[in-house]
Amino acid sequence: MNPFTITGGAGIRSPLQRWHKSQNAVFDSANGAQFVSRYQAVELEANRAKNLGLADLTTFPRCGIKAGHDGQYLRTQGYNLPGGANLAALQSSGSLLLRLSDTEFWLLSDLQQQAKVFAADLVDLPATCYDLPRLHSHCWLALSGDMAPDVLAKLCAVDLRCSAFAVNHIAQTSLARVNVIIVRTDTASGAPRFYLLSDISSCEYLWHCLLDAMQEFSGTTIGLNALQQL
Amino acid sequence: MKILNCPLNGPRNISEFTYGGEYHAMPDAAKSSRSDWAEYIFFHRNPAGPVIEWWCHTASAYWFLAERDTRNNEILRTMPVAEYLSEQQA
Repeated sequence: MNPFTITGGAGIRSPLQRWHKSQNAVFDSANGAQFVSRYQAVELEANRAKNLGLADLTTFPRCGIKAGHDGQYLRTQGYNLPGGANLAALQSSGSLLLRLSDTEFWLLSDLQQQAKVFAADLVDLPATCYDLPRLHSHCWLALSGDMAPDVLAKLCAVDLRCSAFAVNHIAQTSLARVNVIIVRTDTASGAPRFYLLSDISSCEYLWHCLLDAMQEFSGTTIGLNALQQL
Repeated sequence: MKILNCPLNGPRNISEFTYGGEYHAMPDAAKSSRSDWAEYIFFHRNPAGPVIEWWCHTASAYWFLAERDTRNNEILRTMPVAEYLSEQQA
C-alpha cells in the first residue's frame, strides 16, 4: 500500500470533534475523514471570517518526507521546490509544499482535498529518503482574516505582521508556549491566512488559546465551506 | 528576554532552545580506548571564557553550535555544525 495514501475508513476524526459537536457543527467527510463544513449559515460565517475566522483542518491529508540532500528526490519527481528552508511553494495540483529544513518537506492538501498527497510514484523511495507520516502527529488549524496577524501578535514573539512575514514564509516557533509551524498562505481574495501545525496532543489547548485571543476582535469559528469562499 | 539567533530560523526567544552541552570532537571509534570514550561522553572542560556548545531549536528540532562566553553568558556567534567543521578543517 502506498504509505502516503490516506486510508482508514470513515473513522478519522479531529481531537476537537466533541467541541465541534457541542457547537452544533455540521460535518462532511472525504478521504475517510470527517471535517466541519459549517457551524451556522455559510454566508454569515464567510462574512465574519473576512475579519477573523478559525477553522480546524486537522483531518485533511498531509504527509512529510526526508528527501535527501537539497530535496533532490522531490525535484526529480517534478515538484516545485521552495527556494530554501522555511519557505513554501504552491504545486500545480493545488497542494502546498513546505520546506522545513534543507532535507525535510511536508505536503499539505488543497482545501478541496483533490490533490493527491504524494503520488504513487513516490513509494519506492531511495535509501537516502524516508516518509514522515504527519496526519496523526500534528493538528492543522487555519486562522484567516484581516485581524489574524493581530491575534498571533498576542501569542507569539515572532513578527508575523503582513509587512514583515511574507506569503509562503514559514516560522517554526512557539505559539502560546507550544511548538508550532506557522505558514502564511493568503486566501484567493488576498486576505491573510495562516496555517498552524502543532503537536496533536496540544490541539485542544491551542484551539482554546486562539479562541480566547480572538474574542476582542470578534472572531468566529468557521467550517470548510466558509474557508473556501474567502 | 534573551534572544538566541538560530542559524535555520533566525532570532528566537531563549525559551525555544535546549542546551546540549559542550561540543567535543568525537573520538575515532577504531582507535580510541574506553577511557577516551568516557572522557568524550561524561567529562567537560567547563572553561571560564568562550566555549563551543550544542544547542537545539526545539520547535524545529534543529541542532546547531553556539559560541558562548561563560563569564558573562554572552552568545558570541551561532553556526550550523557543517560550517564549524569546515572551519576546523581549513
